[in-house]
Amino acid sequence: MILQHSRLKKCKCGREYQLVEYVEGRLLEYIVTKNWQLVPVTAIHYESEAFDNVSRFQFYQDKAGEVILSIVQDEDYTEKDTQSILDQLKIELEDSNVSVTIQFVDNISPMESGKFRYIIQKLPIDFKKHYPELNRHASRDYKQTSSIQTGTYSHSSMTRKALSLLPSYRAFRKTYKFLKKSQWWSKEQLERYQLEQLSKLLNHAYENVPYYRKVFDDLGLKPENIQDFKDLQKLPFLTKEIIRENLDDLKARNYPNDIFEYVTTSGTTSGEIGPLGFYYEKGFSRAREWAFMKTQWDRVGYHFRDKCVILRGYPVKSVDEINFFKYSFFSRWLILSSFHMSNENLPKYIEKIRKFKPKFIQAYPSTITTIAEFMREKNIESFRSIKAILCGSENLYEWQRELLEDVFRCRVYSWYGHAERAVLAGECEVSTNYHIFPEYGIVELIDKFDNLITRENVTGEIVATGLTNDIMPLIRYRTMDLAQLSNTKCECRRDYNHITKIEGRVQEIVFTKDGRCISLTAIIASVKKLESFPKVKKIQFIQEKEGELRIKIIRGYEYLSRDEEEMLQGIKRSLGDVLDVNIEYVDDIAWTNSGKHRLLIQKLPIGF
Amino acid sequence: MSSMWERTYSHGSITSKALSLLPSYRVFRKTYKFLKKSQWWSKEQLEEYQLEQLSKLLNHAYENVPYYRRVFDERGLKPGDIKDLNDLQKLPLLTKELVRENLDDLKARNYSDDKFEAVRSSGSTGEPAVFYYEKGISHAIEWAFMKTQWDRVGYHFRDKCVILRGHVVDSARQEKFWETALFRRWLVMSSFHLRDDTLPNYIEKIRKFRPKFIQAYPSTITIIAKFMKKNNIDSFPTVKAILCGSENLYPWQRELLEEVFQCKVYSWYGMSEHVVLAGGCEFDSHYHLFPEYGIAELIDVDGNPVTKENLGEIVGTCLHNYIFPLIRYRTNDIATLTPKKVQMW
Repeated sequence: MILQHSRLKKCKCGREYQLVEYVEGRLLEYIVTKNWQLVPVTAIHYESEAFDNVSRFQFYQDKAGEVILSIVQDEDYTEKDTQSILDQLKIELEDSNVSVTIQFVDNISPMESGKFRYIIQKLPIDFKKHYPELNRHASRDYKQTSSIQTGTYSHSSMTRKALSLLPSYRAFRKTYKFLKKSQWWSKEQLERYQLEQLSKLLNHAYENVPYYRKVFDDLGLKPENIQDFKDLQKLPFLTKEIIRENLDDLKARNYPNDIFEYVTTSGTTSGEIGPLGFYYEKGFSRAREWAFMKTQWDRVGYHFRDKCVILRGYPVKSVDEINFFKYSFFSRWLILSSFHMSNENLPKYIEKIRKFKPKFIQAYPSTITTIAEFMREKNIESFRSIKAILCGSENLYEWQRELLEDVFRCRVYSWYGHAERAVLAGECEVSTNYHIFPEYGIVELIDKFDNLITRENVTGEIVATGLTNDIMPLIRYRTMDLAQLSNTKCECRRDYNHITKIEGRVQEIVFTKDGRCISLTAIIASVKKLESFPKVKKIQFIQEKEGELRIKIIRGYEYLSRDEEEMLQGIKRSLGDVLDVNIEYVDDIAWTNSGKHRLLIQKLPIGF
Repeated sequence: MSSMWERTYSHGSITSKALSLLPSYRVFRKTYKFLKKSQWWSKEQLEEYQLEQLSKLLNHAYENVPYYRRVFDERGLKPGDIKDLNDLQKLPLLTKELVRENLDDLKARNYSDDKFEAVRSSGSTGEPAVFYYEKGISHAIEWAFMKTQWDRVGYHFRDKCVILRGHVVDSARQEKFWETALFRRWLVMSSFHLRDDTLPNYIEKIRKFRPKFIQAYPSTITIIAKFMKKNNIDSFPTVKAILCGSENLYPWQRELLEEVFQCKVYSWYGMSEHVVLAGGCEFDSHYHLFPEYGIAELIDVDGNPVTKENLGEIVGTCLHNYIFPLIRYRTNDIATLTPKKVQMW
């Protein structure tokens, strides 16, 4: 048994006892790969679908890199289960270094002591000899949680980020299973569900969230005064300003402190300038989000085990031109840097993708557009393995969709959502309208006089109430994104509401010294994880000359001169020395004519 | 791993085993009463208590246990030289091999032969080790600690309990895989006959018995839970908690058990050598180490205390077994340290 000291210093039970937390298994509860890496047997997810029809199982190993899995089948077991078990093990055993042989047995008996073993390990695993290897696993868990605590995911470990889901795997499964069913509910069922969830949320907010208690009290309201969607309008809007000023009072008091995960938005959404900090429920928020994403991506046939290219602004560790890519998630993901897409490099990118044979590409629209443009210009053939391009985090313009479909000859799937997790909407199998998930949040559209819009084809601001984040409830949150309603009934038969023509998430391009285009979203990703970023009150980027970028910042009172240094370093580290960055401090940042903040003032002509 | 009812004792009936506590009932009461109070002590009080007990133990070991007398003498040490937990590192580690080789010299000379009770640890890694309990007393003390833990989920002696902890049930040959014990308060079920064709009978029997608690090895109760989930079998509404011990309880097992039985899953960590004991509390599933039970250290491959977030092995000193003192005993269980939180580890 491996024990780990708890992150908790003291338990609320009041005893001054030391706390420990077990991590993995006993010394012998590891599977040994060919080159003597150790994988804990307990890291495998036996509660997953793959094991649904297995009534009992046991691993046996007497040779490194080879393991025998004995399975007692139950009556529903079919050939297909064997394949999904092998697939899952392949992923969880860190790929091909272990060959798994499945054998079927009638029964697996307990040991003499009456205990059941999940592995019979005949290889000598020794504490002393394999200390570094064992350590790798133990500290993995610790480091993983510590990175969650600060909310700063290291970009260098996508696998870790993907795996950080695993502790909440059950939350994922539950949500996912529910959505599988609920998406076919009738409008009435969906509305009933929403009202039920809303009532729960309001009661919870009233009881446990000081900000909302005050809101209710000030208005002389009680949660039960809000009986339907119309009553919801009695509550005031929650603006980004209010969140910034009441951050602490928005935290639910009935959650322990170590469950809160601090997250900041990039500030790229809509006209809003400057990052916004808020909280997730550690592990669970991400797990639920994944369940919704997976439900969406199911519509274009995405499986976890599918090979995927990721082009979403990750600065791959080194700016060395040769290393513009890396693998992750047990070689299932190929992550390409968004910062090295120069004309000389693009052929290498394309070559790399072609060799990888991905089924899907997850990308920022602006990034994948750069590649598509280049391919069309040079008449480069598409990737035959590709089934769909998954686009998110930025607006996908119609011309981009057409370009991508033309070049890649596959489905281009896009969704709309944000880090604040109050609204999520995605396309379906047959239509490119954004289907709003009613299970995720309640969406209202308001005009500039704050009145509710019910008619089609009228542009209004999206106001959303998140139904999945109790730890920091967002009720009537003004997203500052603009959209139109559509009342068409979709052929996909889901009774979801639709929005179209989402605006406000403008993609922005910055030009480097060597003539490359870099998406602003990607530049922001490079500073977003820094400690200094939350100290910035507002930020605006201005480009007047290729290779130069001016950053206007309104400082928060905690902002110090070394924060400037950190920001400059952060950008340089991710981009290399291709951009001269100047930071200037201002008291105010001007509004544009349209009455919106622009994150980037691009004075150079953009020619796609 | 600790188990209340060592399988070594399964010769006699389970009831008689339970009742064998009675002569030592006073010891149980005393320890139990003490723990009721001490669990709310401050950190300083607890440390002071540990040092007091350690000093008593070392004096006793030096006076009465040949092995330790030799250890002290070889190093030119006296028990008085060990004044705090840091000083404890002056003493060598006690490995399972050393116990095997010095079995006789580890027995305290001031206890008569009939007080020694031989115990075999299950030896999940390597050969089983033999060591000694003080007849009656060791079990009584262990019970007091266990009862203190289980109080946290509302366990009473008179509560009906299903026991699924690796017992061999005599009647199993006649296709009856259970027997009652302790005046029908306990339903002891065989761990050796859990098959898909017998599981419905097991579940039926548990349902009729209407237990308040299930004491089980995690691996055993997992089999039942998985079967119930798969076949959509209703939970037992009478069950208030599942008490899991003697094996790791993995997160996926905890989640499965909570989902199927819709009740609290309580787990503890301990071992039959009785050097470390830790369990969850009323609110939280983190293991709370009993400072009254033993002193725990964490050491790296070279035997030094672990300082960073590296792995280490748990070394425990039992504070309540005088008949066969285990001082700085290497458990072969490994652990890691979370920095900056706990000073000693």
